[in-house]
Amino acid sequence: MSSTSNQLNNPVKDEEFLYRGIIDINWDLKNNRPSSAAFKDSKGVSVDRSANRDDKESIEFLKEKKSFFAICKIQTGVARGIGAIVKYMPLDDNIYHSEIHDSTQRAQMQGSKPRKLRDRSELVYFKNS
Amino acid sequence: MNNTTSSIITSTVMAASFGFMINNASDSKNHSTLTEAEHHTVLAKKTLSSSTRFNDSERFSLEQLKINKRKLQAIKNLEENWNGYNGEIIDKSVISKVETLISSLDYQPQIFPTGRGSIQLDAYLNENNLVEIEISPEINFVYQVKNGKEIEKEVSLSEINDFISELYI
Repeated sequence: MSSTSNQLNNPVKDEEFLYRGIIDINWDLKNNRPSSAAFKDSKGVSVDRSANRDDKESIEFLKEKKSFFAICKIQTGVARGIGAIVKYMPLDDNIYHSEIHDSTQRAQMQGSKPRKLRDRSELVYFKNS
Repeated sequence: MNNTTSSIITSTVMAASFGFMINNASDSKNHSTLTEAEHHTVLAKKTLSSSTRFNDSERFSLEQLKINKRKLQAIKNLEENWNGYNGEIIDKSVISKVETLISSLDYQPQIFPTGRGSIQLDAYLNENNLVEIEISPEINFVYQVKNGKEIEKEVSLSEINDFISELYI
């Protein structure tokens, strides 16, 4: 882990944004939005915290990882507002990596929360748009 | 512009742009969904004729069933980390379960893989009436919003048709 990660505040601030890439197979063509299935990982929902970056920098960083069909963002305080837990969990190759957990007891998102995350997210990148 | 025309145009434009995007995608395994986008256009165009047959364009939609079967095929081909977030391969037993299930449904949902190895069936009418059903090897979990009231519970496969049909009746 680089020393830069040590410069980030460990708790993610409510004002920060959390970015998530969406691939085409999880895009809901009928309603022109991501399916809530895109917010169901085995260990919570992996996201990148914005830290001190703007949209452009955060999007470019994510696009280096994979050719995403779309990228959306949600404010940390909004995710916490639906009862989700946001944890900063940096990886060797991604100092911004964080996870959204269902609760303090369970990492996996279930029931209404994935849909609420989707509905409160804002689309910030659409491929070739 | 009436709703049907608007729907056709919207779907066609979305499908056309979706296809263009996929053509430019670097991930070759995603190409299978291009066909789905094309089929979406066909579905939108055919909605007119099937609506006169059944007076209910969503019911017994063979076109949507075909789209779902093609999507299942694409889901079968997903590899580890397919979503960029260590997405798990979808177990054959889940695919087989969903394949059998969708053939028996009165109304076809949309289907999506999840990063935790399950498949989600989505049926959406409006914000107050929708169903999301997650099929995994062990359980089937329903999240339903009915007239604005939320329900979450485990269900058996045999109950799923009723949950989806309830939306449209």
